[in-house]
Amino acid sequence: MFMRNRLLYLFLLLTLFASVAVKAADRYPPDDDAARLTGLRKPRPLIIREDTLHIRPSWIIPDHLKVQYAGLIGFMSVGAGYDLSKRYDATLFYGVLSNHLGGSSVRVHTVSLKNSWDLFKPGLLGNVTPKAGVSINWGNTNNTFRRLPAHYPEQYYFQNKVHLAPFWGAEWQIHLPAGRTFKSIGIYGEMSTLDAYVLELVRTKYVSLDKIWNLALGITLYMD
Amino acid sequence: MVSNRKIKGLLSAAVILLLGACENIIEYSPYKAGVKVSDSDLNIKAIESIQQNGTDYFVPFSIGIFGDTHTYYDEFEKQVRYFNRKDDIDFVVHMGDLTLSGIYREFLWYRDLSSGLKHPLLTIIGNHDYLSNGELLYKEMFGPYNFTMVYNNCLFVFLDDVIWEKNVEDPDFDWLEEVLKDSEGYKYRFVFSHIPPWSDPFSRGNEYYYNRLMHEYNVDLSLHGHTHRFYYGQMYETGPPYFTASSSKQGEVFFLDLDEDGFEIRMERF
Repeated sequence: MFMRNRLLYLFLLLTLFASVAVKAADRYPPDDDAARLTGLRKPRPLIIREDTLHIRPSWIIPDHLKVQYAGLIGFMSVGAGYDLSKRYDATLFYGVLSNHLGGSSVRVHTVSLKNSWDLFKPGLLGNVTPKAGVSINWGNTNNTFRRLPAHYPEQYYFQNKVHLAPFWGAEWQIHLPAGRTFKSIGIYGEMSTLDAYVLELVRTKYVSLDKIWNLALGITLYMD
Repeated sequence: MVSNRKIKGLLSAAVILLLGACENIIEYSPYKAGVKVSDSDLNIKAIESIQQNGTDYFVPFSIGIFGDTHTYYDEFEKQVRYFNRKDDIDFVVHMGDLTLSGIYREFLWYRDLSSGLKHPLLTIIGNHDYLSNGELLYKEMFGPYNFTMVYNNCLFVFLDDVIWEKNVEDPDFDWLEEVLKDSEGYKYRFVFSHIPPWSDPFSRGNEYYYNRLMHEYNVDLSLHGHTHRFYYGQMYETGPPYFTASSSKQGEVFFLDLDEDGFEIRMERF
């Protein structure tokens, strides 16, 4: 049990390190590879009176913003993330579920880190990109815990705050005219499930494939 | 070579088919609470339907008992089928721990499987059902945590004795004493709760006090779950016999048969 928690932490840390490392490596790419530069890292001219300054925007500015409906991380969630390689991107989401937003009699705040991979070479299916990945979700509501409160015997329950949520889906990308804040908009749909549901799918005959999936819909804004 | 258009078409068709096939296709959170009206107050509705067939005086009858179904869904399904083959039981009691993690979908799965039962079903809350937002889901789906029912002049007391998950020191002994007071008029008195008093969450003081209440108010039998093992016997020097139902995994179902001369617990294997 604790081993599994450690592995989860390790995975999380690795993901974060990877994101920082890839970003740092990307910071000053060789000039001849200028085509690889995303718009964000292009020096931007800023004219103050007669002086023109060239500003290289910080790598900390995200590559994309997302708004998502449903998908286990709340009624609505907003996220920001980076395209860390040609085929892999990571997005940090915050989602909320409450009485007014989603009709739940109790409020749930969810923070999640979604790791998404493009399944095919970019452009193979035109503007449609099939994706799959796994999201790490932290749920905050009543009676959820990472570490058991002191009044329980050791290992009485497995932690119930962090869940892994595998997903697959596709995004349809619409390119916008150059010079805008956003270079393109993506509209995506995803089927996701939860580690706990997959476990019962494996363990029982009753829980079948049609009982574990749910649908999320969202919009991605790609920054220029 | 398959064209892009064909691939896209196939993909869309697959997605649409899958959407149609999936239950509860929109799920905001595993921790969601809030159930449909048709899934609410099930204990209250069950009591109404049980009491419709009851009388003011004692007549012999039998009830079915099981519990700790957790996520042993296949065995749970077999238990439901087994109870359905019996026509001589008036209702069934689930002894608690109907979920593993108290999450929304587990409650829906319980609802789905238990709705296959042809007898009225009363469900009490277990410690696992308090995890996450299970506490709220239970209340919405079944009704109050503590409740009583009089059937054929017998008193059935259902007590929520979960302690750690509620972060309390004691079960609601005041409520228990209140409902057991003035119960001499009934033919039998039964107390159902998930955790037996000798189990860990009970302090030694609470264990002693629980049995003292059973003894003082002449409770005939104290019934529980939680241990996942069948037990039926005289646990303490004083007080009533105690019973614990096994988990679904053990492949057993239980019956409580009552007649004029007394009652007995019967175990059957499926």
